Amino acid sequence: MVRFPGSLFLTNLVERRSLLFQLVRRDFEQRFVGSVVGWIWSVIHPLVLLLSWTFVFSVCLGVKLGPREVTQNYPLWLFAGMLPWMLFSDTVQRSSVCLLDHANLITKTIFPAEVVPVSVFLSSLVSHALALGLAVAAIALWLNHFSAMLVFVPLYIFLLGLFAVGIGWIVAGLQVYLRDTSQVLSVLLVFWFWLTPIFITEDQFPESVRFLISGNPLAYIVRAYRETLLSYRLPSAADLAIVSAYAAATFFLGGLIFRHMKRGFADVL
Amino acid sequence: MSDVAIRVEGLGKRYRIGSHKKRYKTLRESLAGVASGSLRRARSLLRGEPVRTPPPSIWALRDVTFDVRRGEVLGVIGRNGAGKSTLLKVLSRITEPTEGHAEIHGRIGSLLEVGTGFHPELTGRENIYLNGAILGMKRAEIQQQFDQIVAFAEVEQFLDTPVKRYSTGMYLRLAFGVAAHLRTEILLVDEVLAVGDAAFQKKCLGKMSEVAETGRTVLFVSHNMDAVRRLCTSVCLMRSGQLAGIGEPVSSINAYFESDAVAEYVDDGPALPGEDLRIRAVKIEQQGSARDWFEYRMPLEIAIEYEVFQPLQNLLLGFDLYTSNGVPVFRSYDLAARGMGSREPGFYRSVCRLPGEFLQPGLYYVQLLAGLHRLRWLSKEKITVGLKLAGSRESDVDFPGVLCPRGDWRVARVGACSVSP
Repeated sequence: MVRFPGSLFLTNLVERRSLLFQLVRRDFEQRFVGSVVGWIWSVIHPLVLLLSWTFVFSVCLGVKLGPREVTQNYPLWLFAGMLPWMLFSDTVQRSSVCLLDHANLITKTIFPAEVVPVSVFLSSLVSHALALGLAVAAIALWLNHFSAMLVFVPLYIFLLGLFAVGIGWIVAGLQVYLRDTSQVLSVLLVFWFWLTPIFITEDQFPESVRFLISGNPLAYIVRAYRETLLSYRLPSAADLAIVSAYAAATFFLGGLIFRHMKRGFADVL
Repeated sequence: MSDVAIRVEGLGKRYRIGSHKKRYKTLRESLAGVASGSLRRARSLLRGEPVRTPPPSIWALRDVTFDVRRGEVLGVIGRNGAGKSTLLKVLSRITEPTEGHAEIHGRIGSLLEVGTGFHPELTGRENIYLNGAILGMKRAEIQQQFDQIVAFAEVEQFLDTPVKRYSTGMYLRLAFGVAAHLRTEILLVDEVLAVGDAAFQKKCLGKMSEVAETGRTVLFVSHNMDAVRRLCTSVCLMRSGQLAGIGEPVSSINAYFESDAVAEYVDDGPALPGEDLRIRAVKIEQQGSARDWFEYRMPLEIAIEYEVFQPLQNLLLGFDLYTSNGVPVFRSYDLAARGMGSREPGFYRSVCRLPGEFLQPGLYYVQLLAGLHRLRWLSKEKITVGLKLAGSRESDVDFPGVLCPRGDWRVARVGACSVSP
C-alpha cells in the first residue's frame, strides 16, 4: 500500500470525529456555562459592533465608499469584511494556547493533540455562523438585498478553515516549546489586520504596496465575502484558485510541522 | 497473527535534567542561550577544548526487553522512580522512546490517572461521552456500554448533575467505569488502586479480573502486592529504570521485597509546601535495640515516627504485614492508642508491640500506610521495611502456617477407655 506522509495523521482526524465533536461541545458550552441567555451572547456582541459602527462611520463621520465597491453602506461593508477576519484571528489566537489547556490530557492519555486546533476552529465557527446570520438579516432588511451567491460562502469558510487550522497547528506546536509564541502572534495579527483591506478599500492602498493584497490570502477571502454577501457577482475563478492553493498548502505544511513537533509534547508540557 | 500482544526491545527513555530547570523557555532566554552557547563553543574551539559536555540527563528507562502474550495479565512492580509509569507512557505512545522500540499488536487503551479528561462543569452523562471519546470509543460503543458504566459507577440518580458536585467516591467510580468498559485488546492501568476506599478497590480489582477473563491483555502497575499476586499471570520487576526480572508473580514479589525493603527507614529531608504529614522513621526493635534478625519467641516493637504539619482529622496510620510471597497477614492501625486519630501538629512516635511466638520464623515485610479515613492516602510513596524472624523450636515437629501461636491447651483425662485392654 502506498502511503504519502501524513495520511495516517489525516485518517486519525477522521476516525476521532466523535472526540472532535465532544471537544467542540465542551469548548462551546464552557464559554457560556452558567450564563442565563447562553449562546445569545454570540449574537449580541456582533450586533452591538454593527450598531456602533453605523453610529460612528455613517452618522458621525459620513464615510463614503468608492463607486467600484459592492455597496455604499460602509458599516455593512465593513462588517462583511470583518466576519472572515474574526473567524481567522479567533481560531489562530485560541489555537496558540489550546494545547496548554489540554496539557493534562496530552500527558496522561492517548490523546490525538492534532484534533484540538480543529476543534477550536469548529467552535469559533459556531459563533461565526450566528454573526453571519445576523449579517445576512441586516443586509436583507437595510439594503433589501438577498443574493443566491450566498451558496459560495460555505466554500470560503472551508478554505478559510484549512488555512486557519494550518496556521493554528504551527502556533499551537511552537507555543509548547516557546511560550512567547502567543505574544508574538498577537503582535503579528495586529499588523496583518491593518494590512488587509478591511477598514479601507483596496483602491486606497497605494500602487507601490498592492503586493500586500495580492500576496495575502485573507484579502481574497475578505473580498469574496463582500461579493457573495453584498453583490450578485459570481466569485472570480482565479481568486478562488489562489485561495485554494494557499489553503491546501498551509494545511499540509502545518500538519507536517505539527506532526513533527508532537513527538516532544508529553515531555515538555 | 502471532500470539504476542506487546514486544518491547531495548527500550530506553532519557530525560534531561539540571540544565533545564525550567523545562520551557521564553524567547528572551532562548536568544540569550543561543548567544552565550555559541560564544562558549567558539571560545572552547579556540582553546582546543572539547566542545561542551552533554547536559546532565537520567535514563528513566533503559534496555528494557520483554514480550507479553495475548491474554496475559502482566503486573509491573518496583519502587517509586523505577520507571513503571514511564514504561506505560512509552507503551501508550504518549511519549517517544529515546532508543529501542515497542511493537504493539492491537488497539490500546490506557488509564494512567483516574479522572483526567473529566470536566467539572459538565454532567455525569456528558462526561461519560466526553471521557469515552478521549479514550478512543466511538459514540455507538459508548451508547452500548452506557448502562453498564452507570451501573458500575452507581450514579443513576446523579447522571444529570455536574460532576463537580459528586463525592470523591462517585467521581472515581465513574472514571474507572468508563476506562474499564473500553473495548480495547490491550489495557494499560497505572496505580489506580492508590486512591479510593476499600470498596472501590475491591470493585476495581473485580472488574480487572473480569477484563482479563475475556482474553484481553492487561498491563497493570501497582504497589498492592496482594492484588498483584492474585491478578497477574506474570510480574515484571523494575529497578532504577531497568528490568530486574520477569516471571512468576510470587518469585518477582519475593525479589521486590528482598531488594527494596530496608532494615530501617529514616527520612530527615525538609517538609514540602502543603504537606500534611511526613513519615520520619520506621524501626523494628527487640529488647530496645535494632538488629539484623529477631528471635521469633520474643516480643518485638514496630516504631513509626512521624511529623504532622497540619491538624489532621481521622488519621489512619499503620502498616500491612506481608509474607515474602506477598500474602497479607494482617493490617494494623494506631487508632486504638490515641483517640479516633485526630492529631495536632507535632512530632509523634507510634509503637506497635507484637507478642512473641506469634509469627513463624521467616521473612516478612512491613509496608507503611498513612491516610485520612474515607478521604485519601497521605503518602503515595510506599515505605517497606523487612523483618526477619529466626529461631528454632524445641521439638522437630512440623508446624505449617504463617502464624504459630501456642494456643492455650489444657489436657485432662475425663473418662475411662471404652475398650478394656
